[in-house]
Amino acid sequence: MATLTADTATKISTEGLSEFSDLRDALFYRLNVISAAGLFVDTYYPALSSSRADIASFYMPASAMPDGKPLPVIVYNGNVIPDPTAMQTLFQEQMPEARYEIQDYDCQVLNPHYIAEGTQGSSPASGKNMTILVTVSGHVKFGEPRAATMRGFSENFVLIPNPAAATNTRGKHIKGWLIQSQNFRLVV
Amino acid sequence: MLQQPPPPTGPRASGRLASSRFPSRGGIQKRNTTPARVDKDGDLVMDQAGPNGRASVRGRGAAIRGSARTQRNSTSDPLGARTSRPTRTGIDPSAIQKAVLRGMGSSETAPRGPKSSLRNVRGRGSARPTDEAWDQITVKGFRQSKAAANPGGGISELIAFLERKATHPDTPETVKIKKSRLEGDALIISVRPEDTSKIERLNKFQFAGATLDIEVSRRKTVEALASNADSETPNTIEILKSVLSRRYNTEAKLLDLSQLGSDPELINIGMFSTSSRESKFFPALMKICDSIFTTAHAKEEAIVSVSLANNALTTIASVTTLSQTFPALKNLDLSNNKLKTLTALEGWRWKFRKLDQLLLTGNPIESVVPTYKDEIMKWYPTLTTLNTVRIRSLEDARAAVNGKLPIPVLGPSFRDEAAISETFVKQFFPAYDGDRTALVNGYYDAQSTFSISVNLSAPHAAEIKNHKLPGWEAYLRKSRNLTKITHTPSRMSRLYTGTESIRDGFTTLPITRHPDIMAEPQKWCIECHTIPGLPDPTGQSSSGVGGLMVMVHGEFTEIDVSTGQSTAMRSFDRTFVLGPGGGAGGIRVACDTLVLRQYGGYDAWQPEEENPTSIPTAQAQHQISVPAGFALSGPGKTEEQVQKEVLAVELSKGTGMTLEYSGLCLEQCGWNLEGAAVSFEQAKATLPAEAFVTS
Repeated sequence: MATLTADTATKISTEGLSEFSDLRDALFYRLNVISAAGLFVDTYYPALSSSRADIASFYMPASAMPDGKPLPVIVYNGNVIPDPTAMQTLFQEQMPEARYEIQDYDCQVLNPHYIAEGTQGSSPASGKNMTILVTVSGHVKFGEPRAATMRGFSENFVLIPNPAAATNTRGKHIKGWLIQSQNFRLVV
Repeated sequence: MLQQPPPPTGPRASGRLASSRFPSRGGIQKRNTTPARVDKDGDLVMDQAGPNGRASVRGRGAAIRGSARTQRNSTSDPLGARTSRPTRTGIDPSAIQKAVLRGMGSSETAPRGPKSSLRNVRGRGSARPTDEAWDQITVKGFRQSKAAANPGGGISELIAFLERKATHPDTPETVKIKKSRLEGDALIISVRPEDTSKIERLNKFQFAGATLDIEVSRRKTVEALASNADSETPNTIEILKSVLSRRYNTEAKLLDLSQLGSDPELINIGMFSTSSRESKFFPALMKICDSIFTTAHAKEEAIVSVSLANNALTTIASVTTLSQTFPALKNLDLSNNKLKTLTALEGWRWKFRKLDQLLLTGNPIESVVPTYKDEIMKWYPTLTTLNTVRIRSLEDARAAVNGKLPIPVLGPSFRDEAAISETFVKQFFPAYDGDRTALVNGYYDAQSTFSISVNLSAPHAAEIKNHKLPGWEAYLRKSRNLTKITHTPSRMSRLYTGTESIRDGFTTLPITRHPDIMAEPQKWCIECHTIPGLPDPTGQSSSGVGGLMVMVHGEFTEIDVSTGQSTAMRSFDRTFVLGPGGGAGGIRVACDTLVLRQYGGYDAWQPEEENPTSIPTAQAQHQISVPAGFALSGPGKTEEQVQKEVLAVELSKGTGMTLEYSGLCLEQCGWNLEGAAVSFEQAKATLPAEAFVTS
């Protein structure tokens, strides 16, 4: 992939993309990836606070890596959570009230040409055949919001395209990206 | 301030109707007494005690004499709170009271002053309201006023002035000066006791260019009372202290402030004779509580439970200071008040953050707001028991108290593959400190990406709170914090792709020194796991190849190259995605994201202790000796009695409590063994030694 500078990005957006096929792809991916990461951060954390019944829907279906290790990978303060349902149950039934403030997030394309095994993927022009690394830094208050202490956390995700979204022709609202890997750590 | 009660008709008759005739917006009211004092602000409202209506017993400070002493003597009564009977706390404050009383062989339902002593007081103050009951106030200074030249020396002007100024513009009732007479330079006026404080407030007011000197010279009724008692003059504080100590149960750690309005000692000192005194009473009581304890901890230790039952409270406004004085209160009894809505409790919505048990039974809210229990449960996440019903597990409550997570903080989850991550991390950070160009050449390739973002608002370690925090100038132009950087070209340009670009990025960042991973492992939290779906460098697999996620949390110092001194200390979170490639060890860095934040220390990821607070599930059985025939059928014994004894033996075996205490505990829990066991767990720390079987 070519490097995009501010100049080329501006140039592309003003002069059209026809002559910059490589750059076009790159820009396409990066714009897509930022909006995907932003949307993810904007929906996932509120769900952890107030719609915990939706938590499992953010994850890829439970499956296994080629070597048999379970997917998605969910690690929470060093605890390996077996599957999305367990994660949701943990939050629904045991986790104290939690308020998150996202103070920083960043993202990178991890694999720009990704098609999940056994699927067709989206059309190449959609810019959705990729995986995304999202890193988040912020603070969280567990328990009584006014009494709780502010804990700094660091979390990262690998998002993969939702195959259901690729074949979704009925305009239903389906998440475009699902969590394949997640690691949460309280750091302060 | 004061809604004027109608003239007293009959002491008892009007009193019984007090609350319905004079709806108050709040306050403590004594039952069965003469006119209710209602504070418009919803402040403390306690009915006066005496049957003599407005001519109630009142007084302050030195004016109080024999009556108080009489009352103190009465504290030796068996129902006084300083009972030697050990009681339990943490179950149900009113049940505790009952238990105490039962133990004392009384049929009373709540501790209070003995009726006989109350009658004595009434007997003394039984005069019908007459002018004998008026307070006398001395007003001086008016001779220097311009009005003194007026016909009559300005006296009528002065009286009109006092009445006008003392009357609150928002209240219908007016302050009337009943009588006045001149004594030299002083005007002696007589007013109703309710109005005394209003006149008193006018001290130092300007009247026609002169400063008035106003002093209460006689509180009639108190003097009348004192006249047939000795001359001891304890002050109000001492009396309130004695009230507190009488109402404090050491063993139960219970401060019983129920039925305050009928406390003879308080009535005697005229605590409830005016709304102004009433409104000051509870805050004063709380202040004294504060002054008794030198530390918040001592207070928390000494008073675990407070009862405000049977105070006719319509809101908590008048007693709101309780939450300031006892913020860590565990058990609160608000039963048998007139609390009707959640709004009436709103003032304590965010208070009592450690509340364990709450009693609201006997309040209209039960029928008016059927869902109040759900709401209260939300208000108090630590509450386990509401109206003696268990609403939440101890674990959940504990988690709420500490904000503690249901799953412990564990050490790093390091699930490496062929020591790839370990090798990488051990090489990466020394190289990042030493030779970044070589590092980039060794691990990064044309498709590698790197970005750095600065979290300016991250929480930082407590120990650096008062230090000047280092600035971020060297990083901000590179920061790709997407919550802050919204301009697309900036977002694009701040992502470094390829060796050359990443090298430029790395080498223009400040020089760093990371702690040695092997020497100071506690300063690092390094985790890793495998993931699929990385780009296949050979281009053969579109579903990708396996790789490793490596997450590193740690700290570094920045070094001033010219002096070698460290200039700033920061924390970082760095995430790498490692895949197969042409770099050192056959790997490449696919992605590298670096988050910088203020120094946050390394306590957060230190593994927690092994669940030290969990309650053992299987409890050892205690050896107890059961008296002959106990828990067995016998002549004259009902089957119910036998069952109860069986339960007591069971509980005793499980808890080590004596049979007597086990029985008490069971009775409070409706002879539910499980409930009793739970109550025991809650209260056991506060139980006296004699509650247990000696081993």
